[in-house]
Amino acid sequence: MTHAGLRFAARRLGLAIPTVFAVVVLSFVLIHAAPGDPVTAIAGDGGDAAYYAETRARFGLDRPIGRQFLSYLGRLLRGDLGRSYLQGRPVRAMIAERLPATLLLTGTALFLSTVIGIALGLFAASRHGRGGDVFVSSIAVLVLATPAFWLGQLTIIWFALRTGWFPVQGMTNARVVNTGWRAAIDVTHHLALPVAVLAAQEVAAVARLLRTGVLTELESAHVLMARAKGLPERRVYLRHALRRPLLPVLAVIGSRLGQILSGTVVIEIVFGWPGVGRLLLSAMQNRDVPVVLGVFLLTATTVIVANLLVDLASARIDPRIALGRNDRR
Amino acid sequence: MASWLSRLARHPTGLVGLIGTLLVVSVGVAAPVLAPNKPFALVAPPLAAPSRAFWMGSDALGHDLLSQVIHGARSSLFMAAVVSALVLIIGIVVGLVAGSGRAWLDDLLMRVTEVVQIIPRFFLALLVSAMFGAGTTRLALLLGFTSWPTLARIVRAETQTLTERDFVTAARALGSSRRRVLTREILPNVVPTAFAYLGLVVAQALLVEAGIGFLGLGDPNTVSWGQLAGEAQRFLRVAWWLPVFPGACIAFTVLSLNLLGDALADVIIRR
Repeated sequence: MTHAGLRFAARRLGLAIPTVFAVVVLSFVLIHAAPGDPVTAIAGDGGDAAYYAETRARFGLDRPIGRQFLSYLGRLLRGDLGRSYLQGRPVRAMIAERLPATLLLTGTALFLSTVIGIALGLFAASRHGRGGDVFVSSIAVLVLATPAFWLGQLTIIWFALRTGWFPVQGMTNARVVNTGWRAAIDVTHHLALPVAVLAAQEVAAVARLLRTGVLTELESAHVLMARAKGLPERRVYLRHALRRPLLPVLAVIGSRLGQILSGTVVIEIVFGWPGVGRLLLSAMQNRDVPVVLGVFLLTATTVIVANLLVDLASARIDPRIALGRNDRR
Repeated sequence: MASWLSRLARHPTGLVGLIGTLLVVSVGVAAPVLAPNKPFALVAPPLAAPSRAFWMGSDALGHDLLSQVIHGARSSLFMAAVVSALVLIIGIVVGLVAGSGRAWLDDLLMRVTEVVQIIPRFFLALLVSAMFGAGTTRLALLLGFTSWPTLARIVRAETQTLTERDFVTAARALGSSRRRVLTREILPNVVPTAFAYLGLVVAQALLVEAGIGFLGLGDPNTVSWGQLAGEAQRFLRVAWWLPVFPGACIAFTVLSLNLLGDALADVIIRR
């Protein structure tokens, strides 16, 4: 890596660490500034004083706030997210149980939206100003304005309740126990609608971005040169016009991860998908502070790390970024 | 101003966005007059399908959905007003100061901007709604205080460009102080740019607000479209109208704001 590249990497890392710390401080301050006593949330109303005191001591709620924060920070660094007030189980284990379902949903949506978004963006650019372009661009504008939960509800009403093509809720068919490839088909069948809805907005965003990038690129000298050499249009698009616009697509996937994760929470609720989003909602309804805090920290850290990786990858692909705006002085 | 309006009126999608936005604003302002019933009045049979008496049908308790949807516009309007005000003030001040030329201040403000930008707003809003209880004002303030980074970056870039222009150099040469140059010369020129991007920022904030309402963490004493769609979730099998109308209102509002924002950016910035 070049000197500028190293300085850029150090600078990005120097931003990521304080940001994670800011997130930890912010969430801790918020939770402790909130009205109401968490002990009542854990032990219920109308318990006796001794029981409340014992509960308070057990969860460390009787210590000064600074000590509580330091011990929380120390445990976080060891990967310990504390215990659920409600279930008494480690938060890490509770999140870990739900994580595979969420990762399956988010990962599939992210992958499909990238591939389909790039294909549609390229298609729209190649039909610039014609029917295909207008159609793709209009749909993208519509989808970007549609709340994910509404799209989910509409698809349930139409594709599950009216036509019966897809299951309404859940991740597996509860009435039949499937194994092997039958189980895989069952999960895929349940996955189709939530993934389609979650991916829709990302497809729209990626397609719009790529279309603009390719259209700009088509006017550049090297594309003109490729055309002048008599290369087939297919090759002009795939080898020459597509390469540079892919970089902003990479950048947008990183910065939109927060949006995808937010979408996942809502989509899990709409489709009864047994992931972290549903855990988060039930924890919030029960004021189960450690679980909410754990999910918030995990999400925020994931977004921060993803952005860091995307920035570093972008700078690696295009070294001008490391020399760019962020490193002018 | 008049020339922007006439150019906006000639913009193919800008006019649609402008009319849509004005429609939502008018419905919100005139809601008490327009709505046939009070939003929480039990006037219809439970889960009645759309009919001539109740155009959008009714919910499980017998509320008239049309009246609720009309009153829901007020909640979006309030949210949009608070978010706009905060985003404009914070975005312009931060962008102007950061772009004004003091390197350390620029560095500091841009780091703060990046931190605010990277924290997932939706999850923060969920956390705050869950911890402090539901509240429209609280949510509006939170979204306002976290939605300004994009605008601040745009204003900063615009300030940096303007600083190098001749009229600013002339003002300096005539002995204007740094503050005077910023407030008298640069500020009036960055305000249109900031307004151009406001529609897009507010549209995003409204989508976050709708998501919070959908999860049932909105204010139970007011009506919002997200909340109505959330309550409809249990009745998808029996009452398609419950999610369809409120959701369509959210999509219509966000679409109008996006079209208006895109057109304003075209008209004001790209000229």
